[in-house]
Amino acid sequence: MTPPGRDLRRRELGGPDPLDKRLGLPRPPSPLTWLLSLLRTRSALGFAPSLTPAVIFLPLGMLLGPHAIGVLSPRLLERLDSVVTVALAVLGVVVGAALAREVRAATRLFFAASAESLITTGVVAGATAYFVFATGLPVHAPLAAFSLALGLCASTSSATSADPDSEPAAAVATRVADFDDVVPILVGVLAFALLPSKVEGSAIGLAFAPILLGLTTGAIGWLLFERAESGPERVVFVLGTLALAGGSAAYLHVSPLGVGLVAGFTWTVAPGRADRIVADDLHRVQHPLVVLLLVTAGALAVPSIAAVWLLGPYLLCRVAGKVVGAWASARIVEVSPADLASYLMSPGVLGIAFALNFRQTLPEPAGEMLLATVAIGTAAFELFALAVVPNWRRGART
Amino acid sequence: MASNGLDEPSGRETRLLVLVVAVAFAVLLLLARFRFPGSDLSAVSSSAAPLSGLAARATFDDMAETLGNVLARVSPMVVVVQLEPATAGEPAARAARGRRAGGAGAVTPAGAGATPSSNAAMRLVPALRVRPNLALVYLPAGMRPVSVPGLDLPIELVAADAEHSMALIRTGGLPGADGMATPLRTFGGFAYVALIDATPTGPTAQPIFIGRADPVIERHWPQALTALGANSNIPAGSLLFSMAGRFIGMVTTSDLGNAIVPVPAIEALVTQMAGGARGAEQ
Repeated sequence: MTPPGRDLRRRELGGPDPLDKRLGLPRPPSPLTWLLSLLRTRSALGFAPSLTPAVIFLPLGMLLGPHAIGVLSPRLLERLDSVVTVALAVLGVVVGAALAREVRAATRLFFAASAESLITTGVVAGATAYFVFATGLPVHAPLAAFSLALGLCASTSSATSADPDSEPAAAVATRVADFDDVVPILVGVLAFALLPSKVEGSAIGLAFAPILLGLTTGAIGWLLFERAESGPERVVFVLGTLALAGGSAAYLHVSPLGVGLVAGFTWTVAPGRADRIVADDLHRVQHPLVVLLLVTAGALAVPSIAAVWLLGPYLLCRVAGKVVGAWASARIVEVSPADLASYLMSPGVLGIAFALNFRQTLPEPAGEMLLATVAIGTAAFELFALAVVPNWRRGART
Repeated sequence: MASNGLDEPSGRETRLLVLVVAVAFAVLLLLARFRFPGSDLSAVSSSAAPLSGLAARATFDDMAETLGNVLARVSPMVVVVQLEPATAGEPAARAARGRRAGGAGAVTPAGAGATPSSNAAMRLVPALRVRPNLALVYLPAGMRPVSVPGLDLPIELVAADAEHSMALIRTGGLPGADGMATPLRTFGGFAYVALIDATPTGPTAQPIFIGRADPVIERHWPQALTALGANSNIPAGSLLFSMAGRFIGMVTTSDLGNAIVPVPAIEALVTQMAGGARGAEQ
């Protein structure tokens, strides 16, 4: 029986059948034909046959930003900073809720995903540190902090290219991609505590602040959500609580992703329906916030020689880190390393979220360089996942 | 049964891994051979800064930061005034001979008439804003306020009280905040406070610990002062603020050594002097 939501026709679309092989492929293909053919190929291989949001909205943001046509002015982008912080907290809530919901049943997956993300972080951070040191690239920030930040941005995966129902490897990769954001967020919390802070407080206090803020926000939401007397009142409570999570994190200059993670975890493990209420209401704002993050990141990305200089090592080492990480963790979750690596190649929105988050803390030139590198790299990886990875996986099967 | 892909040969996976890592490593080494245009290795910060957060912060650092905050808060409440020895016949000198002097008039800035010996005797003291355009300054006998450093404006002496060594001066159009807006009316002692003193470029702050602070009756003052002890080295004329930036009092000399003139005594004195000045004008 076909599971609900699974479309077997997608596996039958595209790809040359015996008649096609006899007749040969049409040539030369136009760019549109190539794109349609590419999407059909992706569909046949179990990938989502659509362009990912990053491919569309990052360039759109760059186009609308102050370095192009200027619809998004620097003043507007400055004001969007607080909205971005709330959006980061929302992403943290999504990750925290997914973690709390599935970690008990999928401990092996969690360890595999954590190992994969830590390996990728280490590879990219180490390579970045070496490259910056060797070339004298001015990063205008502590080298270790900058390298770690870039490594964390590289470690995230979305597996948006995988249809979870297409095959077991895709299902595993999707869940690994869900879990592999947790450890980078926690490492990011520690990194925020170790960075020179703009607020008073010890490193230990700043490391624990997101946990306390997340627990407090979680407790407030847990007490409020189920007591709402109407739907609109409940939405106000949910959005207000999320604004509180993001605002308190911004005030203390700690990671909003960490605050959201703890709050989302709290709502899911706490008795009651708080997690379902938040999930229902977040469903309405989640996609607009993702679009906002991507467009803002694109507009804030300042193309510079330094960012382009850093892009090569970033792309190469992220591929290497993902392959090594998948090779190490594939044994734990019993899938093919090549399949896992190919599914995890797409960085998704969390990488952009990390970059925006670190941009708020690192010195301005370093933050801009980091964001530009990650934004261009994310778009490049999405295209890479779109165009190259299907062939890679197809090659693995032949 | 669904395959997870493990039935595929692992040799290809390993080759792929080695190939990708080798290519990445080789290209990284190749790229690292190029120097970034205009690079300067000294501009690259060391990795010590990220770990600085782990180091325990010294109490002195906290104290310095607190005092910096206090100074930022109280600076608008304070005006630095330059004093110089008064010669016979000048307003402050006349005031020194009597108990009070009202409407003493403008005093020309120091400069043209100042001699080297008088320069040596010049002194900077902080004055506390007590009204929108009035400031209270400690004025020892034989001295007169002449100017505000940095502003070549004549100081208008509104009133002087020689018995208490205090004077009211008009601050004119200088912007600032009222120092008596949120004062600390009772000070129990045994606390670190910020001592505000004057420098040519503005007020400065330093921490000082006040131990026992008992009220003492001094014959010249209708209200009790707070004794600082006979050996206190706090200079007369200094202003004391709490670490939260609330005014505690002004240091003056007394028969029992230096003492703090608390807020109620200052309020009464200012009211009396300002009233006297208005009466003299009428």
